[in-house]
Amino acid sequence: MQEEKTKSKNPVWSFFSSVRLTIALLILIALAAVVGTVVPQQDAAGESLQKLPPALAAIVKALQVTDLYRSPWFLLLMGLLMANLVICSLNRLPASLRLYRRRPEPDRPGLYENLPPGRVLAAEGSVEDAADRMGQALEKSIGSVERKTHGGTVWLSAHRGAWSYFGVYVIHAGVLIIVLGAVIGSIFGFEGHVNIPAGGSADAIELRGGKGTMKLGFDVRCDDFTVEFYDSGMPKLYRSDLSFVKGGEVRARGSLMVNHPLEFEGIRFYQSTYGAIPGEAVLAVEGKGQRAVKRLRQGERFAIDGGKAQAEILRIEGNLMRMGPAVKIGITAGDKALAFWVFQFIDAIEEHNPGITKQVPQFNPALYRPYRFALEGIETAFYTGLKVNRDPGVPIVGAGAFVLVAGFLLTFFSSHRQVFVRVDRSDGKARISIAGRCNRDPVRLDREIGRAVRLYRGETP
Amino acid sequence: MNTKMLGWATMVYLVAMAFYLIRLLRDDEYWGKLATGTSLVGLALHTAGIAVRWWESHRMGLGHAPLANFYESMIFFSWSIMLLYLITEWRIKNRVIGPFVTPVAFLSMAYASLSPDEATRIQPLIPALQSNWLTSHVVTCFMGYGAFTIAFGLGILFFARRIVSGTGNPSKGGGGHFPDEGAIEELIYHSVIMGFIFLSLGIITGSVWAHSAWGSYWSWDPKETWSLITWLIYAALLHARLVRGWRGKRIAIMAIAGFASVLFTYLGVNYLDSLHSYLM
Repeated sequence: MQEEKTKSKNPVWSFFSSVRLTIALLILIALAAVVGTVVPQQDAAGESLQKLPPALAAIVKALQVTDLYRSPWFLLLMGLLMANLVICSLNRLPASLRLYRRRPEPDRPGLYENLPPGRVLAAEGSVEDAADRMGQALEKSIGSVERKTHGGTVWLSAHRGAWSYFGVYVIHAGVLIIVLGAVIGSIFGFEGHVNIPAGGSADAIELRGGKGTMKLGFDVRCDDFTVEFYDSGMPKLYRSDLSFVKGGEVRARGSLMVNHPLEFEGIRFYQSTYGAIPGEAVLAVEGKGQRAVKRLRQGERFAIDGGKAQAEILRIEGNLMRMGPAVKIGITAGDKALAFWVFQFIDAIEEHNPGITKQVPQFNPALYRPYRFALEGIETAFYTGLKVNRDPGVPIVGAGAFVLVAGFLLTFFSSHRQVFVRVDRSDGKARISIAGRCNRDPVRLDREIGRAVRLYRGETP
Repeated sequence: MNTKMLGWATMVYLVAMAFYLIRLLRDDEYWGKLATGTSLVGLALHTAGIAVRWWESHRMGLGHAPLANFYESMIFFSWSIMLLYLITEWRIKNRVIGPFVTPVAFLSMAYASLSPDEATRIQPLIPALQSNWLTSHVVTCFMGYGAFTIAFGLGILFFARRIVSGTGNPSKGGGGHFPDEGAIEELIYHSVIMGFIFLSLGIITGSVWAHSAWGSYWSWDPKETWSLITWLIYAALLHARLVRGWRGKRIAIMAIAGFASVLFTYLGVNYLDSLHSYLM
């Protein structure tokens, strides 16, 4: 007791143990979070910052409201709340322990005055007999019974649910464990993404927040990517068939879908986005009485004119200047070099703009004479966008959530019910007086007392 | 078929709402019984409508609980409110909250029925929604919203009682056939506990789902953040009452403020960029 008093005099301790602080912090954090949902965060913030006047933008930057949930002052608020939670709980724990341990004497005065009529029973026979029967009934309805006899009067007491005093600490522990898990995840975990073209592979990921790249220590190969749509055009399924390759051999394979992540060596992969990229160009080369069709990727080289010239696909465009698919070809022959575009629909383009290939030689597919190039099509390929992370805090957060829910049940659905009975002699009969007390849920207490009374009377409860 | 049934339920709720109002003004349990009976008919129709919609989705080969878009969520919101309200009415044996809660349920149904045909049609699920967590997440969240709606109705009732009884005698007496302020506040407290537990479960199930769909159980998405804001407001209410001993007016105000936050979590967030934007 003495120690507690000196503790409560310590100004730091009493500041942190105040529930007024709790309420203030809860509301401050809520307000900060409101700001966080209105001000664009992180990547989205850059654009909107540019629209602001420079002075205002400087203030916004200084306050770090564009990365609010990671800003020192938001973390400080959270830290204060956790400190408050721990200290408040420690401060109140001794009182709860006292309540848990305390067994009020059943013979204290005033307890059996003003009882409602149904709580006072009269019985034939001795006080001891009545007390025995009542004790058995209480035992069945509430729990183990303590008995005390003094001067011809018997007192009984029984209680149940004293654990409910600790429910609130269980809730607080749950919150703490969740926050602990989140902190562990943010310190020891990582989060990033990677785009892999179908058929391609990757061995590193781009870390979130521009923190550079990270080597995975193995290769992720996208063997195939599938996207399906409903008739309405809504997406139905995204699926990446992945292989995890280490030391030149496939160690694991799996289909990655939304809601069905894959895990390899403790790193989890999630289907996040996908996109289309121009894939191979189908190019026809005509000249000197020959025609050859080639399938080529960007950057690929090939020989023409019997090896006298080298050609390279410089660019592949799905829709160049709104004139449809086109590839840019560079040709080097000896010390001469030229580059030109080959449009898929060059005939139509000429029809609309007569003489264009003369005015703009770069648009002439027959610039390297006597050869003529024709683009037969560009095949689109998909890349899959994967989110990649490792979060060792997840099991801890999960455990915290479990503890939190258990705490709710303990706090809100249990209560400490105490029943006190006095059996004495009055008007030549045994008189049984039943008093009850509980910290919550008086309805349940009434029900349990009612059950004890029915058991005592030998009725079916 | 299901939209017709739900449309009828909406009309029935409108009638129930009127009966509750008449009961309040005339203090005649004849109208009260009529109001409860009408509400029960409405809830039965409503439940059947949801069941038929579920069955129809299976017949179409889509097979999912009708909780997948904004229209369906409004319908379910209203259903949660009416279910929890009728349970409360039965437990407290008092119909006085009715006039303050049934309008929310009716408005939610009516607003849903304004949706264009596109939204009312049963749609297949996009990949992110193809999860067993969909049902548990939506049910727990909306049960929470429903309980908070009851607390809100009680908060309004608290002030309505003050207006009727005059401000001179706030605690006891006056207020005609209204329950006394202590009883109203006690009910607010119990509804908030219900809502708080359901909201917590909703956030937890949502986190589990987000963990499997997007790879993080919490991403500070506006919807998530607003659900946390709502949670913090009600946490503040519970602490204020349990530890600081706040009673009456302050608790009623917090219940009303909390409900504003619930509405923003549910509706307002759709105007911010959000992972939940498919609800619109």
